[in-house]
Amino acid sequence: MIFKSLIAACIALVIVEIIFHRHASFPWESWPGFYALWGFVSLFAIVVLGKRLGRHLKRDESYYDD
Amino acid sequence: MMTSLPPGVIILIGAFLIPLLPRSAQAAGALVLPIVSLAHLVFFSDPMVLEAEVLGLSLMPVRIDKLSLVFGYIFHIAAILAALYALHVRSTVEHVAAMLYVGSAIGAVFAGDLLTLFVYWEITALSSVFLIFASRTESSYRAGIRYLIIQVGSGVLLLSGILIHYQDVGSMAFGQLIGAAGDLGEASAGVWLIFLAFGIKCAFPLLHNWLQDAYPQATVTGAVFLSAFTTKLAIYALARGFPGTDALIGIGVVMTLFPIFFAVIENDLRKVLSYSLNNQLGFMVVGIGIGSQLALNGAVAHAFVHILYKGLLFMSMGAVLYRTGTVRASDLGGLYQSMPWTAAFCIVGAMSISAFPLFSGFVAKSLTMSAVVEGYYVWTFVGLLIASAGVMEHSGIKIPYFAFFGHDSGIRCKEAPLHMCLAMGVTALLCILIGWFPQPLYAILPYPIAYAPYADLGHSLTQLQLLLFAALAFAVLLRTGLYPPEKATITLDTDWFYRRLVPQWLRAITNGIRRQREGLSQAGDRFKNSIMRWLLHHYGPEGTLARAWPTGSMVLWVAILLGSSLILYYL
Repeated sequence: MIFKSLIAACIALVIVEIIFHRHASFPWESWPGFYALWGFVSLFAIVVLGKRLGRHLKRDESYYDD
Repeated sequence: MMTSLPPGVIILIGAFLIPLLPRSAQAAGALVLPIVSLAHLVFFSDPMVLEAEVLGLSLMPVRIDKLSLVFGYIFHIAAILAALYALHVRSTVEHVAAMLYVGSAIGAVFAGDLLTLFVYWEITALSSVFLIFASRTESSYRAGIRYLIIQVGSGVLLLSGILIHYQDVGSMAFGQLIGAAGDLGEASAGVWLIFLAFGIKCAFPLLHNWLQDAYPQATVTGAVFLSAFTTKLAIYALARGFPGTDALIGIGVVMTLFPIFFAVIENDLRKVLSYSLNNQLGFMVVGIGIGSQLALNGAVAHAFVHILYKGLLFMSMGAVLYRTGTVRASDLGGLYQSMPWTAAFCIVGAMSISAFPLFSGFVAKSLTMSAVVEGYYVWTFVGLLIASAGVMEHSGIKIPYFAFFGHDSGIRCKEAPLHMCLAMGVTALLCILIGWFPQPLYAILPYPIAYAPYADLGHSLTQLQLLLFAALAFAVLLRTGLYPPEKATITLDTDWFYRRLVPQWLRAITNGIRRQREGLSQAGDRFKNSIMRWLLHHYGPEGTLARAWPTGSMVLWVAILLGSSLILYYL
C-alpha cells in the first residue's frame, strides 16, 4: 500500500517535471529525470557500498570489552 | 547595570545556585536559567564590545555582533528546549554540568578575544563530560575519559596556537585568522594550531570519532545537550576565524560523504544520529570554505536549523531509550503503536534534516547549495547531492523506520512523558514554522540577504524527486532483501586505533621491556655469581688468604729473621 503510493508519487513528480519547465544551473542538470535517477542511484549505491564496508568493519558488541 | 552582564554569565552563576534548591525543584531551576538569560540577551544587550586590560593584555571578553548573536539565540533556544526535555531528571550533577556547559558555550560565541575563547572552550569540555559520566556505566566512564582527553587536547592545541599567534602579531583579538587569499599554506604555525584545535571540535575527517564514541554513551537528556553545543561552537569559531579557507571546501565534502556509509551499517540509533551530525557539519564547513556572504549565511542558517532538528531527533531516540531501555535497531521496531506522538515528532525531524521543501532544513541548505552553484564548484555540488541522498537514507528513513516501523519487536511501552512530548512538540513546530516562514531566520543572519527559497519552484521539485526516488530505492532494497539486516554488532572506526591498536602496541612494548629486563637480570645474576665465586675462592673461609697458619711456623720464621739480622750486623 505504502509502496504503491510511493511509486505513484514518484511517477507524478516526473510527469510534473515534463510539463513544468525548470531552471538548471549546470547543463547535465536539465536532463529530464536527472534528479529522480540521481536520488535512486545514490541511495542504492550508498547502501550497497555500506554493506560491503560493513563486512570489514563489523565486530561483535563485546569486541572492546576484553 | 543589567546591560554590562556578559551573555552566558547569568547561566554560569545560576548553575552554582542549582544545588541550593531542593532536589525536586532543580530541573525547573535549570529551565528558568536560559529563559532569563535569553530575555536579558534580547532586551538588554545591544551590539557592543567590552574591553578589559588583564596583566598588560588588552582583552575583549564580550563582543556582541550579528554573527555571535545568531549563535547566542539558537544556543539559548536549544538550552530551553533541552532543559524542558530534562524536567524529570533528579540528578544535581547533570543539571549543574548542563548549565555550566550551556553558559560557557554561550560565553564562547560572545568572546571577542582568543584567551577568553580558550577559557570558555575548556569549560565546555570539562562540564560536558559529566553528561557522559552521568550514565554511570563502565563503558560510559571509559568513553567519557576518551572524550575528555581529546577535548582537552584540542584546548591545549588552541592555547599553544594562541600563544604563538600572539608572539607573531601582538594581538589577542579573535577576528579573521586566515589571510585574504584563504590559503592555509601561507598561514603561520600558530594559525595552523588554532585551525587544528577547531578541526578536532568540528569533527573533521579522521579527527571525528570522539563524537560517535561519546555521544551515544551520554544520558538520555545529556545527548540532547551535547548534540547542540560543542560542534556548533566549532562551526562558529571557523566562521569567525577561517571564512573563505579553500581547504575547508574539500574537508567539508569528505565530511558529508564518509559518515553516510557508517550510518548505513551502524546498529545503535543514537550513533547513527552522531554520524548524521558529522555529515551535517560537512555542509556547514563547505559553506564556510566558500566564504561568500551567501555561503556564510547558508552555513550559519544551517547550524541554526540543524541544532533544532538534530536536537529533536536525539530527543525522540532518547524517549525511546527512556521507555524501552535500548536504541539498538536490532531490538526495536513497531513502536509507533506505543509511542505515536514520539514517532510523529521524529518524522518531522527526519523530514527537516532530509531538507523536504516546507521544512527547516530546506530553507537553510538551499542557501549553501545556491552559493555552491554561484561559485560554480561542480564537484562540490555533485558531492553534496550524493550526501543529500545519504541524509535521506540514515536520518530520513532509517531512524524512524527501524525504531517505529519495520518488523514489530513486540515491545509495548508507554508514550514518552508529557514534558518530553512538549519539548519535542515545540521543537517540531519550530522546524515546520521555519520551513514555512524562513524570513525571520534570514533577518538575523550575519549578512543582509534577499532570498526566497520557494521562488524557483524547480528547486523544490527536483529536491522532492531526489528524496522520493531515494525513498523508493530504500523500499526496493528492503523488498528485495538487499538491505543489510540490523544485527547486534558494533562498527570499527578510527577509534580502533586508540582503543585497540595503540593499547596492543603498548602491551607489546611493555612485554618486550619485561622480557629484556628479565634477560638482563639473568645476565646480571650470572656475572654476580661468577664474581662471588672468585671472591670466595680467594677470600672465602677455604680461600688462599684465609688459610690458618700454625703459630710454630710463625715463631720459626721470626727466629730466622732475627738470626739473619744478627749475622748481618756482625758482618
